[in-house]
Amino acid sequence: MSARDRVLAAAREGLGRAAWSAHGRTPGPGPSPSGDGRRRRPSGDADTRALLVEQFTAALTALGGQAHTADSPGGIIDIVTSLFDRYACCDFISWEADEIPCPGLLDALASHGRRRVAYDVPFDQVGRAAVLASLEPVGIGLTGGLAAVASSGTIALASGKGRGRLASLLPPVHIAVIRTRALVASLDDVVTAHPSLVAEGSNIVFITGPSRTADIEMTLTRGVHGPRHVHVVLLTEAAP
Amino acid sequence: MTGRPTRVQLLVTCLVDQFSPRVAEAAVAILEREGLDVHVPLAQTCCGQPAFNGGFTDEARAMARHTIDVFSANPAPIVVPSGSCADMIVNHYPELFGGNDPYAERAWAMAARTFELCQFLTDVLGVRATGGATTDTLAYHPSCHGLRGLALRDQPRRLLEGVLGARVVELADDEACCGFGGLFSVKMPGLSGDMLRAKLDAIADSGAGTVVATDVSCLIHISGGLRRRHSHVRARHIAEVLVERSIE
Amino acid sequence: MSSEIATYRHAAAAFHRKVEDALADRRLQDALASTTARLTGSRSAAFAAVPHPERLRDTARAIRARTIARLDHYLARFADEAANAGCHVHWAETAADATGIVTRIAIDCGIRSAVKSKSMVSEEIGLNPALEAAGVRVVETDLGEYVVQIADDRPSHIITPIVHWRRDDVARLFTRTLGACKEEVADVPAMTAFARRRLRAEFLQAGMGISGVNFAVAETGTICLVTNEGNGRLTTTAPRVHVALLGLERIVPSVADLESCLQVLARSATGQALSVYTTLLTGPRRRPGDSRGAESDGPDELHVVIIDNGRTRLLGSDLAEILYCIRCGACLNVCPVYRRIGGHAYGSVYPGPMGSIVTPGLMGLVGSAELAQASSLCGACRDACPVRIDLPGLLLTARHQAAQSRLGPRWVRVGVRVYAWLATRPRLFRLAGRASRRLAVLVARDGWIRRLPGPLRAWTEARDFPAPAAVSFLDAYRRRTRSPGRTSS
Repeated sequence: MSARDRVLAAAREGLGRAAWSAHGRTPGPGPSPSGDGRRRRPSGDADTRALLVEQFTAALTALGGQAHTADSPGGIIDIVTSLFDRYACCDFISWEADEIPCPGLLDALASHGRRRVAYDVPFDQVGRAAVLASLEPVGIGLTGGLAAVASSGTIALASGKGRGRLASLLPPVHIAVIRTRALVASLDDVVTAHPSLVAEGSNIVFITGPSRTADIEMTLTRGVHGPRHVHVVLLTEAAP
Repeated sequence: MTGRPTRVQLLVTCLVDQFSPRVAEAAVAILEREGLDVHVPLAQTCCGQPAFNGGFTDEARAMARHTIDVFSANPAPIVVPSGSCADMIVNHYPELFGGNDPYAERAWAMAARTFELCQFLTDVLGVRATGGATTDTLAYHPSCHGLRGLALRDQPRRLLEGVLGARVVELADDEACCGFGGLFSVKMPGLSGDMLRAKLDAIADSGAGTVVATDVSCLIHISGGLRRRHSHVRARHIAEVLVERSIE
Repeated sequence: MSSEIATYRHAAAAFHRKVEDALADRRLQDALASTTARLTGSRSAAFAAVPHPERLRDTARAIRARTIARLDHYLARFADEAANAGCHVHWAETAADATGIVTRIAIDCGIRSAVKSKSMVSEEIGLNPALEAAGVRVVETDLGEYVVQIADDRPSHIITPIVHWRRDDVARLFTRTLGACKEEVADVPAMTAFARRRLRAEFLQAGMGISGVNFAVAETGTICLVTNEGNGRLTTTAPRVHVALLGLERIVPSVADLESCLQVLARSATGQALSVYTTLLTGPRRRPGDSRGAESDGPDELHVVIIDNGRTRLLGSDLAEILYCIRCGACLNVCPVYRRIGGHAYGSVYPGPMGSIVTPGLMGLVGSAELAQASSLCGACRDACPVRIDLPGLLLTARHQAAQSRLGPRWVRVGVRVYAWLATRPRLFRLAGRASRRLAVLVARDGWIRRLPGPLRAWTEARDFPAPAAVSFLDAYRRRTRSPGRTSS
């Protein structure tokens, strides 16, 4: 009998003893989780979209992040290059060009003298540590995003080919470019919009503002392990 | 229960019986003023909560059976001048008896017609003012079991606001436990004493002349602390305040 | 005296000593008061911000209830799906099994140093000492846990491990143990930046990352990890091997269920709508040749260690409802006892009301029966619990188990038995009342007793005790109703 069999048998035996009714307390099934009655806001029309952008911006700002909007790839490029200037950043790591919803962005950065550090972490420990160490001085990580949540100022990123995890993690500044089409009202809308969410990538991360800690005397400090600065650049699109 | 009851039974509680008979007198007076016929079963003793809270379920069950027997002779609603004892009957009596126990059904039935005093006055009788009057400044301490077990939150406050001349002030962190907890206060005296200290500080800071509660248990604890501090603040059961007509 | 009773007494005495020490520690009191008040305040605000907070709690509870009621099914499903996703799934019946498994992975992979993100279950199984004994260096990476580790201290809160530390203490520690210079410990941001630099170096060269699991999703084999600092992400991204420790009750059926649980967790733990980083991991990094495309980073191996260590026994006990717990710490923050004694006094990885159930539930009652006594049963924990665990009810159950096993002072046992015997005999009860009232009147002055006898003396350490009335209500009432011309007051 394997450890798995023994643990599962013990669980079954425990459940069989059904001690729930001690003192008459029965942990009732309660209401069904889908019946939580939360109203799903329609997010199709332009007015709703503007409202979501406003909400997202307010939520992210409150967390110490920044939201920017542009209505064209050119606008995005302007915003991102000025952010590179602001942080006086030369080297960056990023997702592949076709994973960022702004054609020409990486080329534009290159023409501004910014250097994209491409990497592929090797499968041996020594090589791995060397590559990670070489990425450590990089100043900015640039990504796209799967979705954004207006109510909490959250962005969702899925890892995959051309969508590395380190870009949103290692450098002190993270810039994410996301279409407003991907903006939804609440977290459960992300699950609704992506029914097989976890199939999108082996690593899905919901990022809600800059890295923070309050471990020492409840003093809020940003940028403890993850990026201290989070910029989300929203690409607003005309309704189809 | 349909319509306004004409009779009630008073579950005095052992602490009121032994330590504060005037609380029961006041409760009887308030209920009689409302035109109710108050019946006091003389064979009542203790609801069993001290044993229950200590984990002595068998002993608690025996006491619960006795109490159910004593109060089942009469179908009238049962009024209790204690949130804690009412909580014991309403929420824990049904837990004490499994489905096959002959007392299970009766425990549920008793739970269904048992009310804490303020709850009964406000929610059942619709009383807004009991005719009490005072010139005192009152602070209300919500006792935990009434507050969290019976949702006894607004009823006592509304009744106190109906007391003529009363000024009602709020206690800081009012819903914090006073630290009594029955045997807890004897088993963990340091902890219990520190919780009491915080409560007494809040009472002192409130500027109240009297701290009011629905439970004699908390009041014994709080008044014992006030006394040790040589405080002039009085600790009184809400029934006493609601019944008093004389302006001091 | 049986050895069990002796163990109980020893543990109880140690607990009482620690409680007294904590109460005497003014600094601890201040730190606890301000931290718990802030956490409680932000929790209330976070719940007030959702349209139907009570419904959200109902939903979260229903999910936990549904899962635990069929835990065997969901657990097996999770293990299968995780394996399908490319995880190595291990099963540990005991703490020793679990540490053995992790140690063996480390040795097999030639690991010399590991980074760890905060995991209560790793503390529970005593992982660090086991790994160190096998020659693997383990570095805690949560800022609070890092402080705890280099100071050789223990966490005192499950969410904010160093509630009991002040900034000067941390500054001194960093200077003394890590050689930080004055500027590096000038203020909290400077100390945080210092820790970031130190720990970043550890992340980049560690061969193994060890994490806990906040929730594991049965239908997809996904593990979910929640952190604010980002150390959880680095731990599960930078090292070649990721080992995730899963307490076997932390399962949710589906990704949709996960969402509700995440919402109540973040709001309850830190008052956030969502924690800064919520990571869903389904298998390791995709390798070259994977039809979905190869990934440029992420762990090469992902091991999930499913840990029982008493949980299936707990499942079959009267305390099973505690398995709903999502370890948010809300019950600690509202508990008037935790707020006064902090986490260390409980002598367990799991403090506060939930700890007073989890500890006896996992480790056995004999060594921790006294914990459940440290409650006035005020019920604040039940009101705060995001999954509505009846914590006072479970404390009562633990007390009941202790009473059954005679773990407790004899005078209480005898006293309760005598009291109950009398209370079922109204005549004797009345006589006994009369006798004790007479006795009390003898020792009382001005209606008050300054010192009670025997074990009751503890009461009069902090407060006077009122003398009972000369005549009880029922005695007076009987006299009145039996004599003609009865008047109501």
